[in-house]
Order: sequence, then C-alpha cells, then structure tokens
Amino acid sequence: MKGRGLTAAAGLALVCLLGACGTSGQSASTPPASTPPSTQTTGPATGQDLSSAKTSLSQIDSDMKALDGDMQSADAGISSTQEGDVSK
Amino acid sequence: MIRGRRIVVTSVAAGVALACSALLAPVALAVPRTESMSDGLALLKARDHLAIQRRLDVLAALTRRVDAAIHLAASDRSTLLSQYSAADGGLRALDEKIQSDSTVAAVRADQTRIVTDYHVYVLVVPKTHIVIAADRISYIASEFASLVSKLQAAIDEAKADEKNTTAAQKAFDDMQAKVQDAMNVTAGIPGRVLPLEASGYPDNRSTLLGARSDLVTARTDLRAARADVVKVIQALS
Repeated sequence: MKGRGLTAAAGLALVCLLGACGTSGQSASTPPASTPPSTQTTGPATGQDLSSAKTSLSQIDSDMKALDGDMQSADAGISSTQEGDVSK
Repeated sequence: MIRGRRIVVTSVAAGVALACSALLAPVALAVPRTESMSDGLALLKARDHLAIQRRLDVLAALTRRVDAAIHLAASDRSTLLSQYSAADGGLRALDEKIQSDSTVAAVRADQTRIVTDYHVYVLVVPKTHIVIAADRISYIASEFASLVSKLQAAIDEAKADEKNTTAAQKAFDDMQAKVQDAMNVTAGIPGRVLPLEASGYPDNRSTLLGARSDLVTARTDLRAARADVVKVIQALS
C-alpha cells in the first residue's frame, strides 16, 4: 500500500515536471499585455457592462487556474531530486 | 614501499573475494576477467544512454509544452526552443562519445557531464515553467485591462443615476493598482531567468527561487484584483 502511494506521488511529480500540473486552461485570444490597464470610460449600459465583466471574470478564473499549474510545475523542477543520479 | 604494501593488501582482498566467489558461485570463475570488464563497460554505457534518453524525452515534452503555450511572448518562445535544441544536440553528441569510449574511466568522466553540462531537471525544467507563468501573468493582466472600460462605464452610469459609487470606485482603483503591481513584479522575470546556464548551477538557483517568489507575489496581486472586480460588480448590482 505504502509502495503504491510512493509510486503515485512519483508519477505526479513527473507529470508536474513536464508541465501538466493543474489544468491547461489556455485561451486563444489576445497576446501578453505590455502596457498597464487603460482608463477608458466608454461603453454600453450598466447591466450589459456588468454582465460582460462577469464573463471576462470567468475567463480570468480559468487562466488563474492554469497559472497555478505553471507554478506547481516550476516548483517540481526546482526541488527535483532526479538530477544528481544518472540512473534516474 | 607503499605501493608494494598496496599490492599486498589488494592481493589479500582479491584472494578473499576469490575465495568467497568460489564458495558462493563457482560458475562465475569460469568467466574470463577481460569479458567481465567488458560487460561492466557495456552496462555503464547502456545506463548512460538511458539517462541521456530520459533527458531528451524531457526536452521533447518541454518543446511541446512551449509550442502549446499560446500566450508565451514570441521572443521567450524562440529563446527556449533554441536552448532545447542546443541541449538536444549536445546530449546526442555526448551519447555518441560515451558509446565510443574504450575505458570505464572515460565513460565515468563523460557520465558526469550528462548532469553538469545540462542540468535538465533542476534548471531547464523550472526555467521553462517560470517563464511560461510570467508571460501568463502578463496575459491575465491584459484580460483585466479589457475589464477596465466595462467597469468604468458601469460606475459612470451609476453615478449619472445618482447612486453611491464610492465603494465601487475604491475597489476599481485598487484593482488597477494591483494589476499594475503584478505586471511590475513579473516584467523582468524572463530576462533574469532565460540566460541562466548549466555552468552557473547551483549558484544561479537563487535566481530561480527569487523569480518563483516574485510569481507568488504577482499571483497574490491578481487574486486581490479579481476580488476587487467582484466588489465593483456587487456594489453596482
């Protein structure tokens, strides 16, 4: 039982190392921003704006989840013990 | 004199080992010494080939990962892919060299280079994910930027309707500040992490840890910004 647990943990570590931690939640729209958020004040009526904001928030949530996965994968690499022994 | 004593000690040890072998596995004595040495060399070479193959597999997986990371800045993607390509070529050449080595000593010397010349697991892997995360934070910041006009318009409309928008405006302003903080803290990460080389490891590990810490700070800022958006929506609903 203990052995199975260790195997599962090692498998998860490898998966994380290769970047499949968390969810992949990618979105295919805009490229990385290089400027700070603007302060435009144009737009449709309040209800529509808020509804649209909620939709954007869902996408942000998905990307934040993917960010968690990136960071777990980075952690798995930083603390990897596979390097020193060439038998691994 | 010392050399002579060493030979005596070695001979005694060899004699003991031989006696034990004779008792435990007499068949082994029939194998000529040169053949068993050659077996050892072949085993070492096979082990090193596997170690190199594992690292090539990791590099291939990272290549796929970077290809799929659509938010990755083009220059960062290009730098990472070129580093993988160089490491791939170097490891394959090292494998060829090891397979042509004729002594155990030569194989062992080259074996060390599998780790020290590349540090695939502890440097290349985290470097990749740190850069992907930093660029993803920039991308998320752009998503917040697209919210700004919508939220400001909603606040302005509420104001025009003579509603109290103090709480909404405060959360809105804080959201913008938090997103800017996240961008500021991650802006230099790819530039710091991408140039790290295997020859600088483990001294450059502190740079990886510093970048990782900055990512945590930025993620906290983005979470706070997200909470601010919710506050704006709630205040205006």
